[in-house]
Formats: sequence, C-alpha cells, structure tokens
Amino acid sequence: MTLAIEAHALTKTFPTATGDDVHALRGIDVEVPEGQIFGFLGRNGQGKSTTMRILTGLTLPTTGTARVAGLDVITQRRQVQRHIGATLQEVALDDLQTGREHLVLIGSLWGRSGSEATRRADELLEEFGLTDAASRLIRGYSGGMRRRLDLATSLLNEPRVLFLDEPTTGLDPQSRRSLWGRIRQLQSAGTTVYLTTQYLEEADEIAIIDGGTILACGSPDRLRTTYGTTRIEMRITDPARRERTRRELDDRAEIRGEWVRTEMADAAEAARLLGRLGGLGLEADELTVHTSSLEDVFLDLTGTGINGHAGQTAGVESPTEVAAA
Amino acid sequence: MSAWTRTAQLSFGRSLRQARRTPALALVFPVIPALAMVGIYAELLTSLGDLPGFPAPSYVDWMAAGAVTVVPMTGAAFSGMALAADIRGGYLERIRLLPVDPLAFLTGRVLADAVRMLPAVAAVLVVAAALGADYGAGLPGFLAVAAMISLWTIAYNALFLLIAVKTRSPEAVQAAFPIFAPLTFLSPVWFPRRLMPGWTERIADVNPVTAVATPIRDVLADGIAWQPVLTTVVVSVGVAAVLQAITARSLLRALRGT
Ligand SMILES: Nc1ncnc2c1ncn2[C@@H]1O[C@H](COP(=O)(O)OP(=O)(O)OP(=O)(O)O)[C@@H](O)[C@H]1O
Ligand SMILES: [Mg+2]
Repeated sequence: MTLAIEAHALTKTFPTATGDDVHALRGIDVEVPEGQIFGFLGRNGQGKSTTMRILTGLTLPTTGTARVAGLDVITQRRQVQRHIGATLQEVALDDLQTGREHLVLIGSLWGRSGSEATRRADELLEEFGLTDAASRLIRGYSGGMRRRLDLATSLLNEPRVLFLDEPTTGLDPQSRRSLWGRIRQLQSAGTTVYLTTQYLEEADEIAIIDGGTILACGSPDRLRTTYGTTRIEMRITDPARRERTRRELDDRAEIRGEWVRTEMADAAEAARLLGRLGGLGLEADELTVHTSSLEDVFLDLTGTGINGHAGQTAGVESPTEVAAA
Repeated sequence: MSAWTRTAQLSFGRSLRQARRTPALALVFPVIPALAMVGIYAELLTSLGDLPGFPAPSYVDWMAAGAVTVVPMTGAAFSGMALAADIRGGYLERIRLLPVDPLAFLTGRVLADAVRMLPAVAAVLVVAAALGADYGAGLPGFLAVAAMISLWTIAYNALFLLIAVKTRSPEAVQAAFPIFAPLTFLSPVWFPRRLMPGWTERIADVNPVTAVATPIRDVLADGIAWQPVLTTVVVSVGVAAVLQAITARSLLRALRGT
C-alpha cells in the first residue's frame, strides 16, 4: 500500500500581536493510502484548513514532517505542487476575467499551449455546468458558480492528489451530488482525494480533529459502531406496562409522556434487549430504533456547545446550530 | 520562450485586461490631475511665461512636460490597489500553488502598468498642444519620452506595490495617493526653480522627480539628447531597482508566511 499523504507530529503555532500564541495544531498524524477518499472533520477553528495548507505547501509547520505523493512538502515543495490540485476554503478568483479566461490563464501557467489550455478550459466549463457563463466576467457569478469554477481550476493539471477545503460550501444539492460523482470518478482513476466538509458519509476514511489533535480516525461505519449508540424509543400506552418496562431497564431508561427511551452500545445489544422485553410480554405499541449518524458521533466527540472544543464545551445545548456551523 | 518569460507575459496580458475593464480607475482617473493642471493653470498663469528669462517659450510648454511626469504618479495607486486585492483575496496564493515564479507574475503586472500610462501621457500631450504647447521633439524624441515615462512608472509604482504588499489593503494604497502633490511641488514640475523659495529649491535638487521631469522637458523641447535621457534612465532604474527589490522580497516573505 503506497501512501499518498503521510504527516507526522505536525504542529503549528501562530504568533499573535498580543503575545498569546495560537496553537492551531498540536501533533497531527495522518496517513492516506493512494486512491482513497479521506475526510477531515472538525469544528470551526480546530485546525482543518491549517493542516491542508501545510500539506499543500502554503504554510510551513512549526514542527513535524509531511510527505505528499512521496515528496517532502517542505524541501520539495515545487515538485509536490506539480502533483496536487487544491481548492482552499475561500474561493480566490479574479473578478475582472471571464470564467474561460481564468481557466485558460491558469492552464497556460501550468505550461499548456494556448490552444491546449483553451480546449481543457472548455471541457471543464462544460463539466461544471459553466459553459453558458464562460464568457461573462466572474464579477457577475453567483457564490455557487464561483465555487464550481474554483473546483474546475483545481483539476486543470489532472492532479494525483486533490485537496478540497469545504468544497460543497454554497453548492445546491444537484451540484453537491455531481461533485461527489466526480470525486468518485477521480478516485476510480487513481486520484487520492483529501477533503474537509460537513457531508462525510461518502468518504472511505475520516479523521475527526479537535483542539489541534485527532480524536478519532476510521471508516464512517467503524466510527459509528465504535463511538455511536443505538437508541430505542418505545411508545407504551398502558401505564402499568410502561412502568414495568422502565424497571426492567433499571436506570438506563427515560420516560417522557408515553415514550420510554434507552440507549444501547450497538445494534446487537439493542436486538437482545427487545427480545428479552418481548419474552416478558412487554411489547411496545410503537417502536423506533435509531443508530447514531456520523453527525451524532461527531457531536458526542466534540461537544455540543457552539464555542470551544470537546475539552471545554460551553453550556449551549443546541445541536442544530452546531451542525449548521 | 522560457517558462519565466511566459509567466510574465501571461500576467502582463491579465493586468492589461483588468485595466481595460476598469477604465475609469485605470485609464481615466490617472490623467485627470495632469489635465486639470494643464487646462486650468496653464491658462490662469499664462503671464508667467512672459517673465523675462522664463526658461520655456510659454507656460503651457513648461506645464506639458510637468504634467506628463505626474501621470505615472497619479496612476500608481491603481497598480497598488490591484496587487493588494490579489494578495488579500488569495489570488496570489493560488498562483503560488502553480509551478511558476511569483516574481515573474509580479513582473508582468509591473510592465503592464508601464504600458497603461502611455495613452494617458499621449492625451496630456495632445491637450497641451491644443492649448498652444509646441514640441521640438521629433518621433525619436517622443519615443524617448515614452521610454522615460515607462521607466519612471516602474520606479514610482514600486512604492505603491510595496505599500500593497506590506498592508494587503487597497485602502492603505489609496491613502498614499496624495503624496504626489508634495513630491511634485517640491520639484520643478510645475514652476521653474527660479520661482521657488530657496529652501524648496534645495529639496528640489535631491528630489528624484526633478531628475525625471527636467530631462523629459528637455527632450520634449529639443528632441533626443543623450545626457537628459541617461539622467532619467539612471535615476529611474536606480529607484526602481531598490524599491522593486524590497517589494519582491516582501512579497515572497508575505506569501511564505501566510
Ligand atoms: N494566519 C493565522 N494567524 C493566526 N491564527 C491563525 C491563522 N490561521 C489560522 N489560525 C488559527 O488557527 C486555528 C485553526 O484554524 P483553521 O483555519 O485551521 O480551522 P478550521 O478547522 O479550518 O476551521 P473552519 O471550520 O472554521 O474553517 C484557529 O484558532 C485560527 O484562529
Ligand atoms: Mg477551515
């Protein structure tokens, strides 16, 4: 197994004018095999972009080493950049060029001849649904169109390793789906894709970063089974039966109205419990079983407040806000 | 063509397109102070030219050469603002992900700005001629003036590019725009030395603007001559080399540090 990305003990400290330095990364290890879709997940300000900027050679780490496509990102930055494509979190385009001019310019800077660059630009415009807007100034593009043009830019050199920082931001569901289709297509052609996004169910492997260190790493399924739970909710109309069910569950149950709720470590345990209750004649009138989504796992691991990280969760109980943030 | 030259050329084309698409800021605005000076003061102060020993046939002749020197100085803010926007918006960082030298990219912009000044300069010369200025320069003389103006643009622009790199702020660049006024009033751009009070004359002696304005005036009046052309070349290249080198170093450092 060849590694496309391999980072060891990366730290990054930003000095600040006020003297209290920002420790953005506190020892990050990442290994991504070639051809994998690797997702980096973490709350705002926990070091996702910083890590990506180090891996793409835009920022120097304070300590630690990183290799991309087998090359050292610090000492062989130039060679590394030949093999990678990247879109950063902030779309950076030149408002006063047309979409086509922009792609032709960057394509030419990659070393393509004028006609080659134009041909490639037109292909990408078509692919990202920008053909109609190709001759308009970027100044007049909508947010999603800018994002798509930026994504197209990152594919100009047919990179071996593609870095995408929040690539789905601002995209409508169609564009998002089509982007994922494109990412899988790139993967089947051998490209490694490293991305941060809030829609991670489709990545092969995920790392959750918090406070500048990696909290958990694995496939989405593994993270769900390792860190997630299975929640059972039973509606039991008969009060006596409801009370017996609650006692049967000891203190692990919670009652709200006619509903009895409990949490099990995994699906197997949940099935055993339902079997046992059934054997005792404690059937529910209505039943839902819910296994943690990746988002639930993420919230459990990184806290639910909208400030701080897992270690210093603020007391704001608002999971929806966190999910949106 | 080497990759470096090609990068500079592509950046040159992009910068000119940018200028063409913001004509008010890039092409018209730089020429307004110069035209105002020629159009208003050359008329108001016509009698200056009648003073005995006035060093030009008429005041508008004197003004024309001065106004031409000022054009790059009022056009420089646009260069700096465009660069600051490129840095602040992350465009240059994106360029840094490509296998190109950022300095080649910067060079393309600098050269485009030098070219951008030429239509403005021509406009000033034409308006001054309409108001009675008489140029002794032939075609070689005008070409020499164009070359001198281009070098002067590269030199003076460097100051604004440096502010852009240091502050990353188009507003800061814009705020530096008015420094052209003291720099030109403390040189023989608008008035002959003899009409300047003693202390300003001594400043004018060491003001690089003097070393550009005076030779341009001589060439416009009398045609090409080596001594004035060389003076402008040496001073402009000197200022440009020092300031652009500092700018280039700061730019590389800024790109590395982010
Ligand atoms: N140039 C910088 N100077 C100072 N501090 C910085 C700089 N860049 C990032 N930081 C700090 O480093 C930490 C990590 O930032 P980073 O941008 O990597 O977070 P992120 O995980 O990408 O967040 P988001 O989800 O909001 O994009 C933050 O505390 C941020 O304030
Ligand atoms: Mg980020």
